[in-house]
Amino acid sequence: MSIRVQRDWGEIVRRAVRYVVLGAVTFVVCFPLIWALLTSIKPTGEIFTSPPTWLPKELVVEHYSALIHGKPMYFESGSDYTPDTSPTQHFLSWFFNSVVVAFGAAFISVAIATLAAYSLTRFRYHGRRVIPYLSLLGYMMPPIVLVFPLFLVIVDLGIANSLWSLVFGYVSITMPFCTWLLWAFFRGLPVEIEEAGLIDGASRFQVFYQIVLPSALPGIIAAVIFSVIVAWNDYLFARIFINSVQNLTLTVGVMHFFEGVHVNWGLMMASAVLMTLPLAALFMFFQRHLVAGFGAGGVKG
Amino acid sequence: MALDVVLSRVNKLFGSNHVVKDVDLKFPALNFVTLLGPSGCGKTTLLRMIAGLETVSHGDIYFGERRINLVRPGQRDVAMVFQNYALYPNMNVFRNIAYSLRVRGTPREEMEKKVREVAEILEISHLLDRKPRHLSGGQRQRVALGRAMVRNPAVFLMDEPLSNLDAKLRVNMRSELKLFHQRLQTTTVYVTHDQLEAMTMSDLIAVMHDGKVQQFGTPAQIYNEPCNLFVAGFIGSPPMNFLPASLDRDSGGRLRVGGAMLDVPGETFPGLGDCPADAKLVLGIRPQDVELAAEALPGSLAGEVVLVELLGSEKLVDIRLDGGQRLVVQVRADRDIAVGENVRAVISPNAMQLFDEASGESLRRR
Ligand SMILES: Nc1ncnc2c1ncn2[C@@H]1O[C@H](COP(=O)(O)OP(=O)(O)OP(=O)(O)O)[C@@H](O)[C@H]1O
Ligand SMILES: [Mg+2]
Repeated sequence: MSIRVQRDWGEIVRRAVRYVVLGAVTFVVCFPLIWALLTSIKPTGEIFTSPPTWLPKELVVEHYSALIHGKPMYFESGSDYTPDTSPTQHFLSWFFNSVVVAFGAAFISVAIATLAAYSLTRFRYHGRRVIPYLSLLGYMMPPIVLVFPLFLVIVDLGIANSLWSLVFGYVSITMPFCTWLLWAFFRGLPVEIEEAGLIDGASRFQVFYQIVLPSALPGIIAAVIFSVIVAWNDYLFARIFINSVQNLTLTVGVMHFFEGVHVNWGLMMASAVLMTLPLAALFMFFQRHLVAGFGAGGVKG
Repeated sequence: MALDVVLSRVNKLFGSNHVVKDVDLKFPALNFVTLLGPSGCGKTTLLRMIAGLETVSHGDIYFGERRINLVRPGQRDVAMVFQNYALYPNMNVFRNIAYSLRVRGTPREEMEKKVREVAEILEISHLLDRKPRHLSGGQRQRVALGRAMVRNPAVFLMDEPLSNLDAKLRVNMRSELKLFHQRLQTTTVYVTHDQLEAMTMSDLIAVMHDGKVQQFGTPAQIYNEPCNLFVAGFIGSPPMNFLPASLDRDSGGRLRVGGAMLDVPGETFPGLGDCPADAKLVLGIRPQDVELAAEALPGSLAGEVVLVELLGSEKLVDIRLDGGQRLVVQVRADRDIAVGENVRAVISPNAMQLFDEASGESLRRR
């Protein structure tokens, strides 16, 4: 016996509308990225043709190779001043700086936040209830308020114009929020799993790194991703803490592709694409972990 | 090797909150002992002190000859099943069961063999690769048991392991746990607030109330000879009836209950003779131990049926006695009885309990 499936036209229409709306929103959100990608592979001459071409007529990698090989810029501004190095020659070190600073800051920030959050949820002392809320409050402070006092501290420490200054700066803005995030996470982790570990004969330390840390992994990954994004996208701190061109990070560095009134859009867009890639890859890799990990299941109910 | 567990005047205070009061108990080796009591009476706290997860405020705990107050949980050779199972969420079933062996540095092959053995017994061999969050409640419980079983501990502790299972599974697991105990050959301390679990599974039951042990004995002793009003009322379902009573010296020590006079088996209640004449007493009788008679026998209590509940093979008949007190009687389901009917309740003298109202203590000989 076969079952006739009835077509529900209303449902089909609703579904179609849903797809159209979602597709439109996705397109709007992704448009800048798509446009940057398309622009970056057009020859310089084609970028400003009117009407604009959608797909490049001619596919070139000159902007990418200029960034990677550090070719001198082929555009002459016409002014008397010609710098002895061109910004493209620094692109790779900016990229490297960004990676070091973002991941270094994320590592330090999350390492401290993890221990702090664990202690806040498991040990009893004065203030353990207010600290998480205060740290959330601290994160709400706009960075512009913090940046000058921090700069003075950094000068006093003698680390101005070094990557350390950025690492410390980013740790100081991401760590409070990471602490709060992980605090919320550890709070949801039943203390009985640790007690079970102790009864099973593990030391406190073993319990921490064999049971607690792996169980909190989704929270830790979320905190790392958050910290990396904040550091990676920061402009303000890098603009103020760093003087020398080779110590810049990407966000400030690529501003050198503006030369007076002229902007080299091809390089700009190629940099934008290269800046986005690492984070996009990071997200894609960890997203599965994030979703799968939430709602730890060691406990019934 | 199984050990005695001895609690000697054990106390626990959380700040000024006295949660466990002067508990003196001896759990003989290999016995299945249950801590039974209502919610909040300190059962979990006592169990956690035995496990070493809570410090003992005053008193001593011994495993065999060894005082273990200051021994760390990992060194006590106890295994514990938590109320919420507390499986390690990041590890699969195999690694959950194997964890205690792993931290002791057991060789891989031996570990493998032991875990598979335990999984076989608990019928969870097909689940070894799963994470706890992909298991049903009953399966999680087996894993929790497996984790304890693989250790072969000296003392086995369980905190309400069945409370989150559905009714049918709970009944099955009761008998499984009992079998499990026989197989494990270990002293087991089991915590529950479910008297049926306690009755069916235990060798010995400690009834607790308000941090104190009320009575410690076999299930039969606890059921037939409750030592005070609390135990009498807590054990048994439907609960025991309590009727105010007083002693009538003029009729030679008979009991006046409402308007009726009852004979008391003197040899069961030798303390009755010493009671002051005006002592207020409480007569306790289980619904199963009351007969309903049609005619007015001597020593029967007259009343009117106000409610009849069918339980399946039995009926519960709620009677308002002429004195205004309520009496619940259990009769067979095929007995015809209607609301509003006038009946006479006959109390079986051998099943009756007598308590001193002021102290709550039983007057029964012990
Ligand atoms: N860590 C603690 N700090 C303060 N008070 C506590 C603590 N643990 C338990 N208590 C108190 O001790 C009393 C006994 O708690 P316990 O958990 O032992 O009860 P229980 O008999 O196991 O109850 P249940 O059947 O509900 O599990 C309760 O009043 C509880 O509030
Ligand atoms: Mg409890």
